Amino acid sequence: MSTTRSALWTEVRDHVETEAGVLTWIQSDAEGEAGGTSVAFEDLDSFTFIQLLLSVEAAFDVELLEELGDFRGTTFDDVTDFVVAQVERSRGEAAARS
Amino acid sequence: MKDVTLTPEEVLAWPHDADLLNSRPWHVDWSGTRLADLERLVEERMPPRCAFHTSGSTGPPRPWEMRPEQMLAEVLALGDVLAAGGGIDAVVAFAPPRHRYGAHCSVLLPAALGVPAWVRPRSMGALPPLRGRVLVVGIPSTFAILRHRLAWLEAAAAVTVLHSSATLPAAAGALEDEAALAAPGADLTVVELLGSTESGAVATRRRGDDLWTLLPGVSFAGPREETAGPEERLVVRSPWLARAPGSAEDRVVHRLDDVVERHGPDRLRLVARAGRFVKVNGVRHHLDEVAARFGAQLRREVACIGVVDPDVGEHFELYVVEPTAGLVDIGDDLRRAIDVVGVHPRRVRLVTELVTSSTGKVVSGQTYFREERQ
Repeated sequence: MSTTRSALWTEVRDHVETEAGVLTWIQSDAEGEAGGTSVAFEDLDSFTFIQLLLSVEAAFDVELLEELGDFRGTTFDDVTDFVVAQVERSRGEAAARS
Repeated sequence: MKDVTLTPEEVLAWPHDADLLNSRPWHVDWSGTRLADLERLVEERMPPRCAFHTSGSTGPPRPWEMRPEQMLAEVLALGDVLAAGGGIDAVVAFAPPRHRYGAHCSVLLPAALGVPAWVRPRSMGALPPLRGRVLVVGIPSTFAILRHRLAWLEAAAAVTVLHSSATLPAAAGALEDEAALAAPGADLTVVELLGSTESGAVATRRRGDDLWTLLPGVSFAGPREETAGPEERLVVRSPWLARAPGSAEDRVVHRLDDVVERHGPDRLRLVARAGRFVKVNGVRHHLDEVAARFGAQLRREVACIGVVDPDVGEHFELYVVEPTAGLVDIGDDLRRAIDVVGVHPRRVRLVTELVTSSTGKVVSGQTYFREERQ
């Protein structure tokens, strides 16, 4: 993985996990968040997954729902791979046009 | 990802939960199919009884059944209402065909309208470049998606978004406001559809209207009930009521959970929902039954509270008594419980105790739905 791609991958992965933590469902009345309860990809219901993708679209200026039919992932790493591939394709197309 | 183009024969092949209709974006063109051809296709391709499951019961789910002719009559009536005032040129549908709303409105409604349709299960696939009068068969997330696709809205001449049978998310209003600012050329209308798996489509209204209008063919079942005030339970006579589980007889009258005020022969104001029901993604759940099932799975004291979420509309939150309030990781227990119970709470809140009111109800922001008066 190139340095640029590695940096992008890390940036997307951080965004995905942070946003999933905000959007997902387990909250505690002690601290306003669920202490030791971790968030996993399967905690996202279908609506929350769409919200997560729309948030990533806005942050990285890429359209994701259009290619969602090809996505078969089950982890946040899989989501990140999918997003990075779309961002790179989108940037490649933009560079080819300019 | 490209659309799979299906023929009308493939689209009408039952069951409606087949992978063909639910696992990828697809397109079908009904513009060459006349009503007589459609009636023949429906008779040839669909079984004499089509089954739809409800949820929220403690027992095994039992299907409510409809005859295909009833389903077609229902979408023809709905299509007439939606097309009034200019017609519809194309449909983009997000409601999954596996559910009743999607089977009717994503699959059969475009056929009844005789227009091309692009169906987007799980919201995947591009919005097709359309110019004209477009009907969007929406689910709650559709409003969030369209807020990110305002240029598409503006390119189409007029877009009607249909939303079914649950509290409309606040995102619908936000979409209208944002479209007015950022896509001033977009002519956007949101239409709400009232009904249930058992009743089928009952009434519609445009967002912002106070009163709902019964669909052509549907009527109040009898004289107004004798009640202390103007409110009564909604009881309708309809040609497309589903047949009760295990019954061999069609029904002509159905009593809904909705409490209404009548306004004239075919209009009503929705006042409240009787009982502790919520509709999540168009499926009705009884909160006490859902709580009992979560309690049994988690072996903890729990409560389910109905909420109106700004993004998804009507939903519920699960309160779980966990004395350490989050210091113990109960994520795996929760995931297993959600898997078994089969419905996903909007939020799970870990609390140290359930605070109850003087009447014994669990206290939270909202414990009971009432339609906000306009």
